[in-house]
Amino acid sequence: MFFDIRHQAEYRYDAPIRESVMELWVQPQQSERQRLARFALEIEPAAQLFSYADFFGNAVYHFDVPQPHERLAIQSSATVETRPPTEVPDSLGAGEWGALRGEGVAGRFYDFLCPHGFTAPTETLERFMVGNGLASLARADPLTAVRALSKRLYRALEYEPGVTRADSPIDHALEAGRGVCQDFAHIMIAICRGWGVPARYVSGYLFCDPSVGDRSNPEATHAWVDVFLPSLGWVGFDPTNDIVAGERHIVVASGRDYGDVPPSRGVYKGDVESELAVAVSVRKAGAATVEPQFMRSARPAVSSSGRRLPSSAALDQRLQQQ
Amino acid sequence: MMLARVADSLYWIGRYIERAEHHSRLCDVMLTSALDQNDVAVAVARRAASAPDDDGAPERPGDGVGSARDLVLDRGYKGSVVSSLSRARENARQVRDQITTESWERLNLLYLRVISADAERAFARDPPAFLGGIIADLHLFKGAADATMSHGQGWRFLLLGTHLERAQLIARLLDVCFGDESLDAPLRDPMTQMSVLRMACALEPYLRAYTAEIEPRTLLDFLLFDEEFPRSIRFSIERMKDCLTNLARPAPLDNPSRPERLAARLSGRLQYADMDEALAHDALLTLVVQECASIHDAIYETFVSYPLEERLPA
Amino acid sequence: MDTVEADQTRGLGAVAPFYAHDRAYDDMFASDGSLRPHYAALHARMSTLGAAELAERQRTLEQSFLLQGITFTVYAAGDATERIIPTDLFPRIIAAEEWARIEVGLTQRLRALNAFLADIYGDQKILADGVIPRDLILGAPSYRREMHGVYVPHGSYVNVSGADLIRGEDGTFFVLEDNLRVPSGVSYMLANRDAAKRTFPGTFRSARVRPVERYPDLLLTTLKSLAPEWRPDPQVVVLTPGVYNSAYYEHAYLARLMGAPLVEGRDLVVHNNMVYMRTITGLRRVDVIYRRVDDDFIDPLTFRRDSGLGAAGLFNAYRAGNVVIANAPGTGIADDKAVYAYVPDIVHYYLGEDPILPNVKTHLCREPAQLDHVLANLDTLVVKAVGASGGYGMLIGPHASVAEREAFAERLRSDPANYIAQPTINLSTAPCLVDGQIEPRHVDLRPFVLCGGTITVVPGALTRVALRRGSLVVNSSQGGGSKDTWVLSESDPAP
Repeated sequence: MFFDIRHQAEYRYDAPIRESVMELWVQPQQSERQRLARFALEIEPAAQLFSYADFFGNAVYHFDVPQPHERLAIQSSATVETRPPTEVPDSLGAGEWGALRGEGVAGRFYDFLCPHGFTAPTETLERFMVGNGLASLARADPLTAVRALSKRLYRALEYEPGVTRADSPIDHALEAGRGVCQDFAHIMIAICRGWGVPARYVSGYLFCDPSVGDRSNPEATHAWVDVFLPSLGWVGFDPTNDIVAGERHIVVASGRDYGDVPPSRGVYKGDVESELAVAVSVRKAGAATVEPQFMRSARPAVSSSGRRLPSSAALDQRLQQQ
Repeated sequence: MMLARVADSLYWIGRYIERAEHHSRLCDVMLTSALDQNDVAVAVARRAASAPDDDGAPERPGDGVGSARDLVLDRGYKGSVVSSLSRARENARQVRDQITTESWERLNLLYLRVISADAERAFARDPPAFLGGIIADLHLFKGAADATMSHGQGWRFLLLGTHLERAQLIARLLDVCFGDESLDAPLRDPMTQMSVLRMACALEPYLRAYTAEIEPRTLLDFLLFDEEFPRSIRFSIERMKDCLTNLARPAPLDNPSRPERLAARLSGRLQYADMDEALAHDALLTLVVQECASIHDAIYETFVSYPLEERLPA
Repeated sequence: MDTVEADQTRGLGAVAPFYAHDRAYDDMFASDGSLRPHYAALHARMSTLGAAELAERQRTLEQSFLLQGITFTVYAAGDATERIIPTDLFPRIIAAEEWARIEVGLTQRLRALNAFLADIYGDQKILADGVIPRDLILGAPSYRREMHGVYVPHGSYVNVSGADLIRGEDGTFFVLEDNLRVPSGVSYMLANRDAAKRTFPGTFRSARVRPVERYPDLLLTTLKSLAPEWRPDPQVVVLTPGVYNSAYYEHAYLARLMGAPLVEGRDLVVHNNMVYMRTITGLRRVDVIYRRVDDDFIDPLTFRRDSGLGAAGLFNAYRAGNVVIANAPGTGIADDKAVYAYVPDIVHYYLGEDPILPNVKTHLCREPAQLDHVLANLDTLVVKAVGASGGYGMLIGPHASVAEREAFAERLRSDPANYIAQPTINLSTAPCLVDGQIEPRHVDLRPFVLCGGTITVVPGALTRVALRRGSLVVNSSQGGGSKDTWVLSESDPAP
């Protein structure tokens, strides 16, 4: 399938900030299942873009804006062709657990087996697992267990934007019984890793189809989970929508948790509040793609960053010297 | 090459050093005048020692030595001599790699002395000796800096701070003498006139220039306009002008508030001012204070906290 | 000038030995009480020194340190006081052949540790081969994933190291810690040398002591060697956390003696992936940063977000090869106290050699069997927290009370992976002037090694002294002092 994606993020500051430095994880991945046909990135105010590959192999763009500004807009657009994943069987043999315990898996996927950041287990998670009978799922083979886990999470938690923030700990969603895709992904990753199944956080986009029951917000970025099963390789599960990640899932980046691959993050100088508005559109395109019309939306969603630094000491301190 | 932060610190070392020296002298004259029961001179010194908007100056009416002690040794009062010395030394520590060991050790030694536990006792035992010691040590610092530091950019910032502060302090002193009506024409009395000259460290140079017949008019003329006396306002403004001209960027910015332009303008103003203008109330003194503040701002805008986007490499 | 040496009238006493010492190895006296030959000249000099004169010298020296501002700041109850690190006048002397061993030993160790760092930030062969447990490296907070695949000039991750060496009871030098992050103390090495030369001019001249005074220009050469060839006259700067850092004096001192600007994070700005400093005329490119700021704080974009001590975007400029950071970020993993236990294996693995300088035997409490052993022998062991330094968070078993040991055992059980334990080493002693008497005090040795394209072991060291009688803790934060260290250029100096 071909998709045209436009992703716009706009930071607004209530007073001019300066020396803004940002990193972006927005470029769809190139892989066997996904071909990046076109990618463009625009920054306003204009800035020179640089890029590197991070530890997990994701493409990261970065730039700086030295002059004072009250608005920073980042717009990326891409055309991506996805192929369907290989068919996932109904179940795997019980020997799969043994294969997971092998040194090969532990060695290759150390980072995806350890608790990290948002995926660290908590007491609340412990209670949630007991309350929903999740521990017993691992008695089945790993594939069946993970699939059932995805379904249980889908049922146990409501999808509702605005309850949690992109960088909320999982306890917020667990206590509220609701959350967004990051929360679903982090909770599922924490449990999978607890079972010894390598799991990674995937950030990307979903071409939403409400007719098949998708409940995630089509105008936001999306996040789901890849789990590694020795006989299948990486398999994507989308617990927000209770589906296996397929052709409609467009992968941007993957890491240990949200903190490794936020769509944008940065620091700036200035003691001000910032607001972020994000708009995403994913459209089906023909092989010969035409730029789709983009509808702007100001609904706040995904991603917060633009953390504040203590405002530049140089200026403030000097004024006091008199 | 000079870091903007370093220039800033050197500039403030100059200012705090000058402030500490001037206040030490004011206190010294204040104590002597109190012995002479010259209340007017005491009042002049006290007012000159507090900034116009100062609200933190400790008040101890009726106790000359006590309030002098506070002006010198009260670490909680930011206008005190010990506070100025601490700040000068703190700035020097921040640019320790930029000033010579000879200069640093002078300043550090003085600092260690005024904050030591012995300082209180030494001051109480003999205030003039204590204050004279501070002034002499500050002269040693200035001499060591002059004799050992390269007279390049860093040196100029040190000098800029010194002279900007000095011009402001002398203007403040003259303003108290000539502008403050509540003091009831303080300069009528010869004893007070001599005290004011002492406060400006100007008695001996003045006497050589004008003999012992002190007139308010010549006193003002000397402290405002003398070309050779290093504490006249004109002298300080000329030095600032020299420093700023030397520091000017090779390709001058098209900016009307460049500091060297402001300094040259003020210097011209003083060069062509006449005594009647100076005596006609305090307009000229007010101008000096205001222009010094503008030069300070312009120094910051040009050298220290300039907008980054204007100086990006091509 | 030679007043001390000229005073022959009232000596401290010509009778040797000056002191009876316990089982510890003593630098000056052999266990049978005989004088070690390389101490002969100094010993003769000490015998003729006047006690009052020496005490006066000591006071003058301390006054001079205070005046120069060779101080660290102690903050207590809102008040800041500046203290000097106490300095002992008597130099410690190391014979030429002993130093030769230290020199090759430290060179070998640093080669191996740089190879180790290149490997764990690259192919991770040592982990694949199972020489070091994977989670010991990958699970450590000092392992910086950001460094993976980053080009490091000459493969020299560690450009300045200051290993702590100690002598066992038989006099063998062991490496106790490698100190590969931002080791400090070199300014004391230089200041102590200055003082010792003035105190013992004649002895110094005749002993043929190897010079340490070139340290600043050796450091500058090392730093410049890290800049790319297309930057022929690289701009080197020293990055300090600022005037409130306890080693600020040293940062300013090295900057001054190298002629390099001393910058703070707020002086730096990263634009279009290049690093600049703000000068009075505008921005000026920076090529090499000798940073005295910890990894966590160098770049709020990449590392700790709340850091105001670094420059945002610095790490990306580094990754792109537009600036060099020395030491490289991520070297902390190689001086992690748990990784330390594997350094002999690391030397074998990368160099195929036996380590010249041995390690102190180390028990990793993360291993249940070793934890049991440690808990059963707390009264004889030194236990250290893996993440701590500066003598904090440690237990010296033989010197601790039963209650202290029990409290520590509790901490060990609740977080065993955070601790290692080592036998209590009876550090060697050296003669020190204490209250007008010459007494033995425990010492360690911190030599400094520079590593750019080549490795240079500077022939001298900071000798740290535990000034309290019987104390084994030499850290300045715990009441330690320091003394000059003379490395002799010949084994048998002319008298």
